[in-house]
Amino acid sequence: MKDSFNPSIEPPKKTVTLVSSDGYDFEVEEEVALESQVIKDGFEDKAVDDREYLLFNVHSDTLELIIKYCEKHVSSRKSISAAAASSSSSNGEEALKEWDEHFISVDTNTLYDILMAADYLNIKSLLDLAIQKVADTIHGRSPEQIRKKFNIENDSIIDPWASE
Amino acid sequence: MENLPQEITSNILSRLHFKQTRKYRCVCKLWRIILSHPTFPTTHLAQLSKLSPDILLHFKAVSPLFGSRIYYLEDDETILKRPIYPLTLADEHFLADSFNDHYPYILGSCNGFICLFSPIVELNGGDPVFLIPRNPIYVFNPITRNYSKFPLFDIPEFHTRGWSDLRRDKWFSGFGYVDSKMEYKLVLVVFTGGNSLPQVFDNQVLVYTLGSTTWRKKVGIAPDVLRKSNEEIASPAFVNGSLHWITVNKSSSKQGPCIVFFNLDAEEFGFVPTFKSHLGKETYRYRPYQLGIFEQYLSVVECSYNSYISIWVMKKYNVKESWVKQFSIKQGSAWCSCQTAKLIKVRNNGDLLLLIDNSYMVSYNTITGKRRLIQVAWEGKHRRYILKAQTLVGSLISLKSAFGMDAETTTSMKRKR
Repeated sequence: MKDSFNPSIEPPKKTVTLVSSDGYDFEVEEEVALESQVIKDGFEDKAVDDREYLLFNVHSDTLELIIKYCEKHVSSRKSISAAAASSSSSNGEEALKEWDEHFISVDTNTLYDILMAADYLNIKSLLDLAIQKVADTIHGRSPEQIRKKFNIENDSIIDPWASE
Repeated sequence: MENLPQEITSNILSRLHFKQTRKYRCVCKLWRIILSHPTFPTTHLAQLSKLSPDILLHFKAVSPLFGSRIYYLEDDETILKRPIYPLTLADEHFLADSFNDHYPYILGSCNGFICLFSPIVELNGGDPVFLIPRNPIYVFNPITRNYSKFPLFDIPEFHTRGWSDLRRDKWFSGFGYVDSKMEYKLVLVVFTGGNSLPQVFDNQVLVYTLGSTTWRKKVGIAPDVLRKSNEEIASPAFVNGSLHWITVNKSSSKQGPCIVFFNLDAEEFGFVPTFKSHLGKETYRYRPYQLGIFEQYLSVVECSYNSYISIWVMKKYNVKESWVKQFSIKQGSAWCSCQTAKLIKVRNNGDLLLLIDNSYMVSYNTITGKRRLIQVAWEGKHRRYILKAQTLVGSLISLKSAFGMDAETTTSMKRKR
């Protein structure tokens, strides 16, 4: 076997391990984890053999979604720039937008979890996507419907002297 | 959702339509604090480009003597119920006082602000044809009803040239902003031509940055091809930090549309590459091309008389190969052979909002091909009018807090019934 001499075989990809709040390990490619600004910032300081991150605020259910999002974005970025380099036309950006739209169409609780995780991990594009989704959900609803939908308590003190 | 950090809640609320930001103050204490905080309008302004814009309508009677009226039309589900009574832009008295009973024209609109002027009208045997901008220019926020005057600008050699010369001038204008600096700029381009033959045109570009005290002038930097544009004074498309005008190349070698841009940051002109058009030369008199914005992309509606309306979209800015013919609509019975069509916006439901022949608006469903007429009432004195439409996003900002401009506020906005 001369596999080791075959240049077409890629070297094993570097991975990091993300540990969810409920103790599950997720092994992901380095570049996927680096989508998070928080991980990126801490990355240089870590020893090469200790690439493990304990994410105390992210449940495994949510982490799975977050990783899915980051993987998709890393791979789409590659294919978009590859298409640009070969100057072939691609609708990669549009396809990604559609994928995002589908990805974020989740129930309120999941959306909340994604929002908090994206904020904690500082994944800007995902945070923006989730915030826009909440804004779109609010659009056109009555204040009462919003309280119900988002489980907000009406703590407004009705002050008869309050000026409008 | 009740435990979101305040900055995220604030970010969410800043992405709402201005009308809803008032309505939602009562949801809870935190929302009220955020929404009524003095800095909220500034946060809201920064997010404006993410909101689906409303529509600014300008009815102009064919003869300027019979007036014009500007409306702010909210693009919501009621737009298809008929007829619509849009909000008048401002108190009639404000307009009458500010413009000496002349009717205001729009010089440009952007992010919640409109620039208005009143034209100098020359009567030529009862047929007023001659329009040039007149001082002062106003910037106006129709939502807060806050307005401010610009410093005076100079019409080139206004006092030394006669009317016959001045009327040959060709004016273009546009209003946009530099995102990185949050600077808003109004641009006036004027081509002046003398009596000599062959006619030689000079040009001047006047730029005013909101909040500054003077106009800046650059001479001779505008490309001459812009002068041949058929576009109305205030209809450039603002994309990618630049104002764009469309014109046609009449030289035989490079036939087709030609897009001129003015970058507001660099304050320089340039050309955007265009697609190859198959329209014949004979169609030029119909103004076959109209610039618009499709989602966030620069777009051209190509109207071939009696056959197709094609909507071209430039998917990657300044890349010639990225022009795509997004839609092709067969002209049929519903709009009997229109001559021009302008894309106003893509609506929330995906419909295209088109202005047809400068006289009516149509909401076009690209999947079913269904088209619906949007009826807007104008009780003008004159039956024949030209309709202009552009987009505007409502903003709560005051000119004072945004640009430190001395500003006044008019009395309440009226709903016409």
